[in-house]
Amino acid sequence: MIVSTEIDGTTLQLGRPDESDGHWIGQEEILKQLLACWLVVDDADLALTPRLVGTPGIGKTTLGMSGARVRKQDLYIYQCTADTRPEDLLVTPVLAESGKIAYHASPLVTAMIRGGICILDEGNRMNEKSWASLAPLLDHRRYVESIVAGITIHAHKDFRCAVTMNDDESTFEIPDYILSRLQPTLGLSFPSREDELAILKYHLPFAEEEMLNLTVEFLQQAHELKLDFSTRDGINLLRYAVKRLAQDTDHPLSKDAAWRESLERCLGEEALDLQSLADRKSQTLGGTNVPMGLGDFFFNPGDPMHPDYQDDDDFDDDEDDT
Amino acid sequence: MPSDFLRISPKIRVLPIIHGSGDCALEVRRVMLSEQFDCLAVPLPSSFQCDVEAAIEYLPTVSLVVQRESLPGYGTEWTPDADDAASDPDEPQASYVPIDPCQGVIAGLRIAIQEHMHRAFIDLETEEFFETSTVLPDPYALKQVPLETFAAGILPAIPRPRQEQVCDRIAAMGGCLRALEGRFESILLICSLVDWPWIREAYTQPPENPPEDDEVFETDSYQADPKTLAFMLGELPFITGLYERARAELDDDENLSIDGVKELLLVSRKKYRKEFGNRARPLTPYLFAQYLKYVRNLSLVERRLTPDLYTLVIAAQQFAGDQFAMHVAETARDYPYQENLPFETIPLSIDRARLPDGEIVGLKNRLPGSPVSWRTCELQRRPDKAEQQRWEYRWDPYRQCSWPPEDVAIENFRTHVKDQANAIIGTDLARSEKFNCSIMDGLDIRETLRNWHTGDLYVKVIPPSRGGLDCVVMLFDSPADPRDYPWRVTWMAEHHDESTLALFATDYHRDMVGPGIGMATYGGAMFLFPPRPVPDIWMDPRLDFTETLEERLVAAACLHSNERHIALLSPLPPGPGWRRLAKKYRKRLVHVPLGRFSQSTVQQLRLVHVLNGQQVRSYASHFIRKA
Repeated sequence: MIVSTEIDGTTLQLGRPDESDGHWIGQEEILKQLLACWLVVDDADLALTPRLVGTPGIGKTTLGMSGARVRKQDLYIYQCTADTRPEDLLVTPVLAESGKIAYHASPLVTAMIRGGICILDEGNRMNEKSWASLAPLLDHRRYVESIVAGITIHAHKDFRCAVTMNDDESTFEIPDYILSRLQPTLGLSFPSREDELAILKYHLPFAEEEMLNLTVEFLQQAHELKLDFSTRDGINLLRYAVKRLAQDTDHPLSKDAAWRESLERCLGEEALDLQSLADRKSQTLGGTNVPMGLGDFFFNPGDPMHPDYQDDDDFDDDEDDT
Repeated sequence: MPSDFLRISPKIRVLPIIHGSGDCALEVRRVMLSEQFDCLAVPLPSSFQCDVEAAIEYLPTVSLVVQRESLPGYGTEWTPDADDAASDPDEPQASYVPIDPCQGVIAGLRIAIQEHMHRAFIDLETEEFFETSTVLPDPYALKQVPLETFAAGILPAIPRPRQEQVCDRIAAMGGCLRALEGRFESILLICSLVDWPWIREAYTQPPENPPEDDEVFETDSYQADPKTLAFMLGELPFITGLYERARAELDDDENLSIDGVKELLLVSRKKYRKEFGNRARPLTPYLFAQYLKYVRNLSLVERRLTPDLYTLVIAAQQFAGDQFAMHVAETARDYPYQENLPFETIPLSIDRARLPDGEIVGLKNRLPGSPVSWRTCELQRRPDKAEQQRWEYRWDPYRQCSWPPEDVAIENFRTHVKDQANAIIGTDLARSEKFNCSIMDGLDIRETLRNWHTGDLYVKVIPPSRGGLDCVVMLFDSPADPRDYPWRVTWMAEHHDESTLALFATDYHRDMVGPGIGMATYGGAMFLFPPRPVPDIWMDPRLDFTETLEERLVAAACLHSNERHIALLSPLPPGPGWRRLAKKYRKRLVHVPLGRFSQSTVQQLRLVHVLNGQQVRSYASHFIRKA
């Protein structure tokens, strides 16, 4: 059933909310930060529109979906591209069967009207002209003007928005007056070992423990090396490996071989060299202390008084345990 | 007129507070200055009295009074309470009283000393102190509700103490209050919010066997290391400093727990701008308004009314980048009134301290507020002067290279500027013509309507731009002062995807951010792509006719470019002089306005890190942070 609404005498056909399942595992802090952006404490208060940034496949969209789920609101996702025009983003005129023009509201406008949450996915792909059409929506005015339909659409008080962005060159397109409306920047980092394992188990509950561990080990090593292999890559790699194993039950491949083949096919040959890269890195680093963290404002990293200090003995114990 | 709700007896008024809160300290001051008392009772043992009162005399310089406990396993027996304690069993323990001006008990004692009021330290002497902490509401609520209402609201949620020592201490305090009543007519008791109902109960129902004092060690006074005051003070050191400044200057200090955060931001911005100058990100009032809203929401999500250090720093990082967050963290850590006292200085950490003999002891606060959890965020501290000098000293002048992620970013930006310049060239060539047989690049509605009376249609023609573009000049700071940009270099490409680069920038030796890592800021740069070997433009005598750094870059671009057009990214369009210069070389400058791009992104791109050899690349990312 097509849902429509009338604004200033123009009938708008509304879209449907996204029904896909997005479950957030681990990194509670970033989810809390996203929910803080969307919190309003008064009728005169306005929600913030955060930028969710991070490498591809790290879970930016999933985070937005989880935020919508926690708030129990409908979710609408708009996939931005380089050729997204302002009318695509707001209202698109479509030739109806009757030969008349029908106006279709985009996911963004649907969310605005119905009081849902809209995620502008890959927002930095979009050009400046399209962003300009959203400027009044993202400040205290909270409306958009559709030139095509000749109407002004005001946002519902429950409307919330977030923009996902990849860290790449296309960010240069977005001028300051738009970026100042897209605050704060919530950066997603790679998940911890436990969280990553839980994510893989959630997506591939049928995968064997050994394969899961191999993948998590690989991903964690890649994160440490600051390589851009994401959890999504891990899921794809594992999915392909499981399929290869299940393919021929008479002459099964060894799990190791299937996993290695999958690694090479999914992530390329250089992914096989991760271990040597890691070795080289650890040799070069030597005993250099790497200061990083809030506690470094108070103590040197090697100081036992440091709040994040871990005694070498603790590491030894851990290694002994494993 | 105070209500009877907070009276233990006609002679005893109780002031239940949350320890370590500036708002509660103000409430103490308000009550003590508005009512008459002849004795102040505080929940500390008498063994602390002498040193605590002496240390209070040194305020606003903060200090702490420490009482050591006997070593574990030496003359002590196992107790269930001791088993509950989360402290390391091998670590020696001590309890302490923070001489913190925002500590309600200390504020009360400070006034009592000044008013020559009698002070009674009524707590039980305990050889081994058992620290209890309870999650309590944010005392900022006192700005909206009276203390009586606040205490009454929390009363049903205050649990009865179950630990033996806590019960004994409460019974002892009840007993002391009864004794004090015989000597004084009007007593004020300042105690923890979670203890007051039980002290009142102990006062009215004295136990059959009153608890006895333990033998205890003498107390020692120490000064906290100024860098680590945040681990001792209830409020942020900067905000504690504001309370003290308001006290000295008789300023309004009623809302400092929130207004202090705003001042913290302004001071941080000032320091940030001083360090980065025109490279600083624009930190506008609008941005700060958004920042404060976000900080408020984060605090509310965590069920608090006022932000903690972590929230302030992480929000600063998310709004204005690492460098500003670093200034916020450093400013928040600073307490301006820390002078040298005749006490030894000890560094503090979370529930730990290193005593002058080097021994690390576990510390238990005698006046504990709400439990504090440590959360860290990825933020790089600024290296100290000694570290920077050491790194500078070890620099090998024959080895330098760039940091690949920055190369990729600036090369992408160059491509982007080049595309923009190409589009501008194409726009210049666009024209409209009468519709003939092809609709070309689309119907030109404007031109068609203009000629509506003729009945002709007009179409747009956007021909491909003539000539390519192989050189991009970026001028970030123009006019550039040559004294600001002493580092001038021409770098050859390492691989075929990289441009030949000539640049002028600040001196990277002056800003060492890590071992073998210096940071400079681009003033301007010239990119030649595809890369080709060119003589160093800063030494090339053919370019000696130029007078400024920018002019030399433009002239070099004109000299080495193989194409007719040169993209020039700059804040303002090139003047007739530069255009004439380009014309001399048969070139044309295509101006791409700098304002078209995100300034904060441009500021990040301007920062260039110079590495002392390729091996530094393996760990450079641990030290390099975005602006």
